[in-house]
Amino acid sequence: MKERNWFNITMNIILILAIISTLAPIYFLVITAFKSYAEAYSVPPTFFVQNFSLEGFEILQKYVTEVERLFANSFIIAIAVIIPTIICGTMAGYAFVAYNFKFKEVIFVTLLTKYLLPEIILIVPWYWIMLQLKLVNSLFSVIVVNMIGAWTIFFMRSYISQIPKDYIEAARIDGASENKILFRIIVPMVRPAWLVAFVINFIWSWGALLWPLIILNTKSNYTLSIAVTFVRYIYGSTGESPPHYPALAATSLVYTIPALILYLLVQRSFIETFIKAGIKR
Amino acid sequence: MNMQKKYGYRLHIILYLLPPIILYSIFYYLPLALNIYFSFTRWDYARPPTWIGLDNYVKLINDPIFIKSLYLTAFYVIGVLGGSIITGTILAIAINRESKLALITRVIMLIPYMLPEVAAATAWFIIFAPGPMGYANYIFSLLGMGSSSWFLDVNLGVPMLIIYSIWKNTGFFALVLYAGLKAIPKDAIEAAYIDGASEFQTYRKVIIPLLRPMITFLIITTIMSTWFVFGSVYVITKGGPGTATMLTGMYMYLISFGQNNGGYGAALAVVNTALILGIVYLQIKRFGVGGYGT
Repeated sequence: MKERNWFNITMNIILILAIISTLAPIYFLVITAFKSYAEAYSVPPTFFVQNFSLEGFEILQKYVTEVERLFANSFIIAIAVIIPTIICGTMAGYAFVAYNFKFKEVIFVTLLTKYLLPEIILIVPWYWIMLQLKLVNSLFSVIVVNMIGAWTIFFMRSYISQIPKDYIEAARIDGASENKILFRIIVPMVRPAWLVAFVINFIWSWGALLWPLIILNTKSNYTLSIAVTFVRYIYGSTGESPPHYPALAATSLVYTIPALILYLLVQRSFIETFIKAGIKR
Repeated sequence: MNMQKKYGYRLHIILYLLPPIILYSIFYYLPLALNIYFSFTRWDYARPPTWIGLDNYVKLINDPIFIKSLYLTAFYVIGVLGGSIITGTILAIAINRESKLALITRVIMLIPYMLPEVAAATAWFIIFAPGPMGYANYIFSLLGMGSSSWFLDVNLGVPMLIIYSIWKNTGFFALVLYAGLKAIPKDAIEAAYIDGASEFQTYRKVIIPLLRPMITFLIITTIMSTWFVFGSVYVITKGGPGTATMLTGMYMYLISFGQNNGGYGAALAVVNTALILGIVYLQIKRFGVGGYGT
């Protein structure tokens, strides 16, 4: 019994430390975003905002482009990636569960390698492809390379495999077509998995930096992630000159909020479904 | 009915699998081959690539920054993996209890993972700003410690990036391992209790060994993503000061699009891909694929 108490106390301390260390960076981001440049460089630093200022947001507007534009670009890319990812991911995931066919394992593993290979090893050939297709500096060039996420195929397969096969068998005996089985019977059952796939893919697309940074090169085409790096190096390209911390924090804050809100809206079912899909049957 | 008999479900299999196969062929499998071709050329994007044979590879083995980036990256990957597995396991155990605090932590712990990389890295960069106005420097000065440049310090840069990444990954690791804990049969745990084991002992001797497939899954996926880490390095240090934080991903970007040396960039990509696939292959061979969702 005594041991059990110690265990609980240790665990509670760990939980409190975890919460503090998780939230502290967000707190500092928020207070810095509303400081003036002068206050951000005051010694000692202020841990509460003394003079509320929107200087940081003005710098973003002035040196990069309208925030609305950045938002729109990031959103267009995310949505255009997520919709085909979820639809095609469900179809492919279903195919791996519902059918037996030649080379099934080989095809599955081959598709999965896409998930393991990070985009950075493909940037040079991608650039060549975009040059040939005359797609350099277009939002479409960012969308097309990510259009069907491999993780989603993997995840949907795992989730669909937990649905009892009897549903499929029974529908087939009733004479339902394969498309009908998938879209009328399976799809309504995988809604929770769609939510998880939506969140994960949104987070990935929203967070992407490398490829957009390479292929998008006019400010009106920038995404929010590029805007952050632009503001970071606004005072010289080496990063050795003093950065404009409030502008940097303000841009990051604007960029963070949609991802944070989305997660907090769906957190409960996100965690439940994520765990359910991971457990072997 | 007859058509179904004759062709089975072939039509649907093709229909459902074709979109990713076509897309990946154009944007993944073809580029992998193109990479190898470009690695034998000199290409600055303005003029067409010119064939230079093995020159890029000769340059590569004599490139001290490339060699340095390999060491730094290996150090970084091991640090992030080791650290995140430890913190993730501890956190997974801590949230695997029925209490309000554990419930709240389950939600909050995932926030770092959900934050966009660039924004999260910026927050850390601001906290650990060099100079006396930095929050961390001020807090440490109150504790009687000297100030530091943190990320921008030659010796501290990579360790700081490691700590940042552990912070970013821990929640996700904890979630996957928590899913693993949930999957452990109750009787295995109860048997240990009946044998008189304490909570700590049960975790150490019974539960953690059972999490091994999950840990393998995390190692494989994390090696791939951390080996080529880019966003946080780019926004905080850009590989500097000098080449102190020149991790592989940063170097590949800098060569390919900072110096517009596409051929050499492709050679770097080929070598790193081979290296990383080799490591993952050994890992899978030794421990199996196992893990989350398989």
